[in-house]
Amino acid sequence: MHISQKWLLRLIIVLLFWQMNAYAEDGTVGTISRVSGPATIARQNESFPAEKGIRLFEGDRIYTQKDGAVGMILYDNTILSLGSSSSLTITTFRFAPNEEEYAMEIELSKGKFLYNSGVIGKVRPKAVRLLMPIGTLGTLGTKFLVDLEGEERK
Amino acid sequence: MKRNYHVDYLFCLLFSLAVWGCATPKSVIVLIPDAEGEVGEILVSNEGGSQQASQAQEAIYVRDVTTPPDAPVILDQEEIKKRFKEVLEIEPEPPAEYRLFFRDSTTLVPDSELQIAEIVREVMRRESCDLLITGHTDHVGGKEYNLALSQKRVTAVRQQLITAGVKPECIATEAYSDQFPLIIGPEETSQPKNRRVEVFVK
Repeated sequence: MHISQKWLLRLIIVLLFWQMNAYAEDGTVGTISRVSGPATIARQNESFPAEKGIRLFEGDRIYTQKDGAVGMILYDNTILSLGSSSSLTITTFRFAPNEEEYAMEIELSKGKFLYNSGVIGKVRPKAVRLLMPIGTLGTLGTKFLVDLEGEERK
Repeated sequence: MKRNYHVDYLFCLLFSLAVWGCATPKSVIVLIPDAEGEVGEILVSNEGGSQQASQAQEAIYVRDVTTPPDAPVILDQEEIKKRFKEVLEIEPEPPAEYRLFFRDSTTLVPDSELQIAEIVREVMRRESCDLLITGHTDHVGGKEYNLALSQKRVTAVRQQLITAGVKPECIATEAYSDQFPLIIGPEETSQPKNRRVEVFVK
């Protein structure tokens, strides 16, 4: 294949991706899938109620008040849920298999959680890190529950 | 700084006679089986040390970031259900997964053609606006050729789903060329099972 043809093909691929990735291209890392009771998303300087279908972005903090609970599915099919008076932040989320780039860092600040690995946890378990006030958690293709006692630590 | 630990312990002992538990309550991480019954591993580490769990219902208790995590103990089913009731109840249904196969570059095999309607029904049932289509090829051909081919497959299925009523803004797509084969085989082999598109309805 001539170099020029190769570049043309690359250009076509790039254009296709642009046109195609209707929502993933904008940096969406996941979607709120279930909500019950009072729950909030804090993004940069604003915060708004968590509702089914809301897209999540890197840096988002999702938290609940008493009796609130949220379930979400990340782009790589990781499942997360949090219980009442709980708070988590999606600090880092990179899922680009074509570039072999995988990274997921989630901060569990307080409350109760459920985590079920998605593709990142299965393909590149070392790229998954969960930070808690009591330490860090590494996983290997796993489902688990977390209950953090005591006050949130900053 | 030197502290009189004997006095500390004595206080602790006296205090625990009046109130159950002397120190701060412990946090806990519990390993459970996934939907397929598989159990992975977790590693909890902090400034004090680390502990690993690899069996279902194994729980690691941790007091604080400086105290080493406790060795894993088995928690019984009832206690897990009680303590984690709210997060278990709000857990999202796992994504529905479909595999569509191709008889040539972008034409679906008849069975897969029929699955389009099934996917649309699932989208309706879940009231979902969150679909992911991933395109895959076998190992025949170069990287760029396969990337373009997997993209064409994704585009074809996306179009069919839109025609069948799925909103375009609800569909995300990824072309993965030959890097996630279903059947792992030698380079440059033709493998119909790898020529596919996967659709996830979340």
